[in-house]
Amino acid sequence: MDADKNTIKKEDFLKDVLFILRETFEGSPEGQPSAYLDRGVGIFVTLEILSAADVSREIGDTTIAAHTEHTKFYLDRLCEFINGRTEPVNWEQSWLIETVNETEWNFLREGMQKSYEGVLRCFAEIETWNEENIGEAVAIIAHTAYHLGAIRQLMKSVKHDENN
Amino acid sequence: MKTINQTDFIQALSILFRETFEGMPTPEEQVFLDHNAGIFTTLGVINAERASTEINSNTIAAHCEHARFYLELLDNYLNKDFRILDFKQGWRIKTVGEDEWDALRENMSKIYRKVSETFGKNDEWALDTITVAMGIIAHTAYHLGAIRQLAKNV
Repeated sequence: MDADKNTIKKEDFLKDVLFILRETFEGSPEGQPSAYLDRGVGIFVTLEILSAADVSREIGDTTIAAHTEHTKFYLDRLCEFINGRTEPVNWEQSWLIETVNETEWNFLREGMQKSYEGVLRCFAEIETWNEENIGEAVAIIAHTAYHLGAIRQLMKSVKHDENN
Repeated sequence: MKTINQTDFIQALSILFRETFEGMPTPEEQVFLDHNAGIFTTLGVINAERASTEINSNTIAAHCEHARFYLELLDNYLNKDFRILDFKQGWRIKTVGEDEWDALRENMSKIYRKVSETFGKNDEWALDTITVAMGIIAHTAYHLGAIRQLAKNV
């Protein structure tokens, strides 16, 4: 069935949601327009250049490590909801990490990569998109974007402190 | 299914857009933000002086105007106004007086209402417009995250 005025082509939506998700994590691809982030800005590039000491430094009562773990936790739980989870989540558990050593930081970044890949699979396997899972998919992007915005501000403060 | 009900898309989009700006009235309705963490509540408790305080070479006022400018730009696109605007214009404000700050917040409210209307009346969602709509939410969320972090330090 072709899309008419009351419908959206599933392939269009999937292509778009994956495009923005990819930009959020990987940054916009070279030679292609970006949807909302500056070139070279994405979760992975941002986290890659930060050390465990950087991300453990407390600024305004929080750390980059805490935001990173919280963001990863949200990705995992939202995928569970998309796949049928009904029991509530204790969101306080998403803020348990505040500081990390180098080994823990590498592990956390690897965990973020795996969670991102899990979201890609999760979206690709959705047979029927409805209001609920569309909302959850866009919420994953919005929530990650929100914390990316916060993380990049924290990063500027950390680097500013290092240089002064 | 190879198609998505357009109403489902618009409804999901509108809920998240509303949460980004207005926040959600109850914890049960929150999807991705904490209670009272939307744009309006966040900006409502910041005065012009705090909005103009430079931290790491930027200000809350600058982020606010940039987010507003982007909304205007993409709302134009959704309304088939394809004028090319200079993105640098989105960063032209750095500091504000109280009157300018009030005007900036009022303009943010106006463009929020306009985009809400645009989402509601657009009856043809395709590859480009779906990206634009999701980009509006993602971009605002990104700057909201930045603004709330800056607000802790001013």
